[in-house]
Amino acid sequence: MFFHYFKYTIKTMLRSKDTMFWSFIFPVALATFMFASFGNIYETTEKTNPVPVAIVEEETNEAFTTVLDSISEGDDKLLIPTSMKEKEATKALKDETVDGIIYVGTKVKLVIREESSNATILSMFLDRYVQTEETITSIMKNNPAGVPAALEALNEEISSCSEANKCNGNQDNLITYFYAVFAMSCLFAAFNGVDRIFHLQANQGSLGQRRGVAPTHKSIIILAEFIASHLLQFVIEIITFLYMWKVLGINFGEKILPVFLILYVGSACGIALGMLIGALPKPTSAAGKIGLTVSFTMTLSVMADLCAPGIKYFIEHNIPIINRINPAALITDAFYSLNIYDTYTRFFQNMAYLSVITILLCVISYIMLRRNRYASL
Amino acid sequence: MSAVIEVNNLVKRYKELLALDHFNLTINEGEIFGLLGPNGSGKTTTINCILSLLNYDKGTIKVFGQDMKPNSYNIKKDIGVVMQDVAVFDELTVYENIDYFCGLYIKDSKLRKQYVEEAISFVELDDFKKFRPKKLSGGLLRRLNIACGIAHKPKLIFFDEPTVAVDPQSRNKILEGIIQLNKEGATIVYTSHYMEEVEQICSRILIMDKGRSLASGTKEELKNMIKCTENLSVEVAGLDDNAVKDIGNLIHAYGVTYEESVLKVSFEGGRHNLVRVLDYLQSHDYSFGRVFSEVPTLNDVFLEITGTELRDNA
Repeated sequence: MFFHYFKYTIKTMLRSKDTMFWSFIFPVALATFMFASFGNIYETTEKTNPVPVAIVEEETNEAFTTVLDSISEGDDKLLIPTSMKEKEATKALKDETVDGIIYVGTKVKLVIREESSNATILSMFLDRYVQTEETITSIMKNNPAGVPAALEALNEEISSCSEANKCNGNQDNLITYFYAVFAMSCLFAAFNGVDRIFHLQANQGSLGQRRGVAPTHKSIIILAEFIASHLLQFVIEIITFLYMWKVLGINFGEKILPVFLILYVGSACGIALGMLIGALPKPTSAAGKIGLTVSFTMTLSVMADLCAPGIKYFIEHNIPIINRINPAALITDAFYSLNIYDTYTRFFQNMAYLSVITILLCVISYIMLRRNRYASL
Repeated sequence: MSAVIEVNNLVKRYKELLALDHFNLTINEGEIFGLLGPNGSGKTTTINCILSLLNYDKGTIKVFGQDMKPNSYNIKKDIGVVMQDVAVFDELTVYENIDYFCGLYIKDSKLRKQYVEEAISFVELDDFKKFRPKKLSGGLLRRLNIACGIAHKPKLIFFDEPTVAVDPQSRNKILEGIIQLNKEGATIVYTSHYMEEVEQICSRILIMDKGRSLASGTKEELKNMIKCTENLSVEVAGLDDNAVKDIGNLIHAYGVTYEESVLKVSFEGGRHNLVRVLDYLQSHDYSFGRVFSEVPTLNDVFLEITGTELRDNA
């Protein structure tokens, strides 16, 4: 029976103009529009140069100064730091002679020129430094004996930024827009999830009532609909990716195979999110649920830099947990980590978070959908 | 005759509203049972409780002699439901829709194919197999809705107002189809606020209002419960109040109205009531036009029991 439901779910989705528009046409059109807007910058490979940055020293921070010196020397140096007063640094940033200002004190802060293609490198460098510094501070408090090993790790972490700079990925800041398109596209699978679940509940309409009186366990239908929706969305994501990669010629780096894993888990997460929204007791109307889906997925996508780069970075610095539970941020970060790092640690970390979120969404949805009798129809 | 459905003391509340008030119902095998009542009387709520789609506050429901629960799949496999609203997928063709819903009951694909073809022939949609629902007229869409509900050959079929917004031709086909299904062995539960339909096809009828059972029986039994035996309508111009009063005092007459040049008189028993009324009008020099004499309808039954017209509420 599973195949019976599976077959008809695929048929209804393929013939649904709404599903095909939001899942396929819209992301492809958006990517094409972005590509046209950004011009032909993706046709050439940009040579990466050290990033000019202003250093405003508010207080002495020997640890940071040491790290800064180590990545500002040699042929493969990452930064070109210049000590300046604050006013001078602000002017330099405005004049675009530097790509960012690092304020050095007991805490290290960064201001970047968002439109700069080097903003990502600066952000990544400082992220790594701050995270590792916090780790070492914690180790010093709890396990002073582990400090030497931690310092070694610090050195490796920071130097990974240099390695990132050397890897063959596309470090152009604009690529993040395309990552966000995939994040949005995966999350737009939520519309499909909402639709599937909405028509499965007896209190949401006659289709749900008709299926509610049938001698078929709801979980079989839910499973068939989930797997069919996921499969179709995954295929759509692959086609979208191939279009962007091969037709538009966008450089997604050399690690292409893991991209399919992102699209696979990402589309599952989108469907699961939609199923949860569909299963929520309120809003009760289809229009209300679609409205909630639009606003929620768009908010998540914007927080993952769909509209402007820097928001995700801001969140990472202030409320990092949001980026760990925002599927859109996890998807864009997975793309980013594939493109930037030689190792897969961060990529698999993102995939793990995304998988856990997907499973949680599925479990909560199923618990909510287990109800068989309703207070009103 | 064994009871297919037994509902005892059923109470259902929607917050402050008492939708079913200690409602009782017994439907026997082989019947076409009519649930008649105005909109909001509790017909659909009753069906949804029986089908275990709705929670209820009190009472017991047995179907085929067993307690009906949401996971009573062995009972559900023998039930067919034709919803008030059309419940089909817009993206699937006529054939695919029937196949999908039949597939919720019938696992064997060969048997299912045979059932689907039979259902299509039964509702006479053979020429529309590959049509999507949006291409069908209202009547054809209703027939598709019926086919989706009965394709698996259920023993008990619920028809919840299946003829709402349907043209007379399709309505007749639907009613003929229901009678045919009954002849083939299915027990039918038919809800409607169209009393003519209920009178036409139902072997037993329950009249309900405000969640309560008001009366039940065959249509003859129901009509025998009221005192009205004949309703007269006479088109007559310029009838004065004294004349209306005199006609109301004729033997066996118990109710008289005169509005818009139409005189209506109800009689409780007696013979030659029409002759007596016409004699009176002729003897007082009133000229009259069309004359109708009707036996009481279920509307009269409803009117006499509740004091309101069934049609007015519908």
